[in-house]
Amino acid sequence: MRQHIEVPGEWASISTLLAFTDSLEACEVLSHEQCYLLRLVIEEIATNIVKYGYIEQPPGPIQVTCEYHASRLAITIRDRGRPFDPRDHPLPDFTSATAERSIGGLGLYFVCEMADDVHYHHDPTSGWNELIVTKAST
Amino acid sequence: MNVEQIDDVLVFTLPQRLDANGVAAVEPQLAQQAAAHRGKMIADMSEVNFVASLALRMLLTTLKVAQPLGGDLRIVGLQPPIAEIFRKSRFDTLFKIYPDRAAALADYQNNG
Repeated sequence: MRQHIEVPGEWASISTLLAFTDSLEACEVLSHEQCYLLRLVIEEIATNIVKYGYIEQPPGPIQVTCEYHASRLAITIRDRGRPFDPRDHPLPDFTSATAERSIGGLGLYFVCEMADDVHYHHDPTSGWNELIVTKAST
Repeated sequence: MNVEQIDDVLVFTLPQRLDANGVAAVEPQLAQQAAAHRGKMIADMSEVNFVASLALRMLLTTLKVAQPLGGDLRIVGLQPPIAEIFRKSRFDTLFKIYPDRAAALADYQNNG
């Protein structure tokens, strides 16, 4: 199974991407954990691309490709915004008291925790960022 | 979002998916009612099967509003994957969490 979607890197597109995850979920091929991860990638990574990736330039594209083969889901998310490797992001604040607690970085942390593997590549020639998140069925 | 008052406790039943759309649908009402109520609250999450970081931000913001006013926001009915997210984010150290609303209501009644 291979499904692909491209949307403009703007807020209105997040609903379109969530509808894309709904349609994949309805296929009943993916495991519960894989569906959860796909939704989380759209929520946390695509949202970050809109919020930070295209902040200094007109919104470019966000491409999402889902490939399912031999019980393994690979989610590839591509954009041409500011380079950002989620794996370099500092760990979230886990220790502050309620009043000082911040949730910055929590979404990325969840994606990295839930995935089997997270691979990032930035091509300086073309300007494309590519994040590949994989998870096998358990 | 269903909201009911049981004695002096305001109980919010949160929707299945707390993604960007789900949070946008409930956050204004939650913020407005929490600020007006200024007291004991429960978020019933027994129907919730997806939580994004935006949803955790919403719950934390509500707790931060409630506590200085002498109130609280307690969480009930976490499904196992959502309970795991609360553990991983250490949100289980910020909120009092109960298996169901009866347990949370009883604790409010007995211990405040």
